[in-house]
Amino acid sequence: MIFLTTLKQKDLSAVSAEQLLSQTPHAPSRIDRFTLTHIDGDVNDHDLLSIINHSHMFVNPTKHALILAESPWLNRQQLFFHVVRKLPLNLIQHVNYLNLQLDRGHVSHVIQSDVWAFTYPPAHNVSAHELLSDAIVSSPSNHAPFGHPLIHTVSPLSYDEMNEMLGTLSHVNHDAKSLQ
Amino acid sequence: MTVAVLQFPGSNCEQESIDALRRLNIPYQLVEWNSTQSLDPFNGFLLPGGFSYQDRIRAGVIAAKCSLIEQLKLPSNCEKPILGICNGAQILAESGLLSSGHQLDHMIDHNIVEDCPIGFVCDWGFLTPFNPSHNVFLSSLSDGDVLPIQICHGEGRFLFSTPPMSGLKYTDIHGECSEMSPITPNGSTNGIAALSNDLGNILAIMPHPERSLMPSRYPLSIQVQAKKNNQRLVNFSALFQGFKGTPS
Repeated sequence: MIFLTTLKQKDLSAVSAEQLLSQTPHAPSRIDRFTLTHIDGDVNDHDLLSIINHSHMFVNPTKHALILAESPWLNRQQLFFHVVRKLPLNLIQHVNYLNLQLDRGHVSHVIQSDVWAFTYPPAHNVSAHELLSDAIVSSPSNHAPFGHPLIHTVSPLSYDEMNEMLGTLSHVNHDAKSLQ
Repeated sequence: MTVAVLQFPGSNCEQESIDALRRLNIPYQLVEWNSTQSLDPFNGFLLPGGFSYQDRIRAGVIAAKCSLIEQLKLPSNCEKPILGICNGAQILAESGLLSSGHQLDHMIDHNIVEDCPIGFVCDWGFLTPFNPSHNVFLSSLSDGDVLPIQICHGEGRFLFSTPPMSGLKYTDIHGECSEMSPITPNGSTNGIAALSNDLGNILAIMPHPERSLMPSRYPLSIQVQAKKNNQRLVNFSALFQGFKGTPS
């Protein structure tokens, strides 16, 4: 199961990133931050969603939006960058909690990563490849704060690719919307 | 000879760092992150611990990109003594000041022991130098010295593409090094607690030498054990004297 979460209010990391990049040639008009959670195991998605809905482990409904498929939080003006740790953190406490709550099935891994969404005005023409070296992957000579070359792998994603990643769960989307 | 103590929003150890300099009669000036003054007149720089910019995105990365740190990269400043403690070390790693090329060669990551994130570590431990003559801050120390120090961080695991030429490693009270917990409490590569740049004028140290200047600050258990073993423990005042020296 893959889902995104994001703060309903502006994320302060995104604010700092906007300020850092404001003086660069490809300064975006807006940056949004999402956390991508991948829960792996022999488990029913509806059961997992029910636990997610009834616990604050991944989403506090007052503060966060849960995104399982196409959503107003995502749009075609955004360029997405998926920042993944090369060696993912083993979120064993999350795994243990989910397995305790599940009546059937078993969760083996919970992996979280960041997705940063850059929004540009329609007239601004910039490629994801240019942004990777100028604004995403940190080096001593740029202002990019998102990915560290020693520990992260960064992949650009289009709006369609992002929805494709989430789309496998469109059948449970209705339940998720009730959270927002 | 004046040392600039660079303060960022979220720094919280600047007064302890200043206290260390004051006790050792090293002149200092606190310089805030939004200062427009030139750093050229200063003879050295100290980046204190804390949580600059709330550790947003990655610890130290936002401060590492600010204009004050850009000034440290200028030819007029980059060969002066620069000491980064805790969050200051993270800022140095993220800025590229520890790297010799055009890539970031160093990273200070989450504390991870046996593949599990272990969160924040707050404890006392011991460090011992390796190749101390190469770094201006370590040159007064000798191989085999054991220095008690307070460890206080959630992200202190050094990662690097090339092992450092000089620095400090975690050890036990007898000087035996190990990469395993609890001697190395955070999973740091090669048990590294502090590392030098290639030139030897910069030291990035994750535990807190400014809190470990005198034996009276050590926990009673360490004082008693050292007395029982008739062991000489070295304090960190020698490290700050590096501001008065030059790289070898």
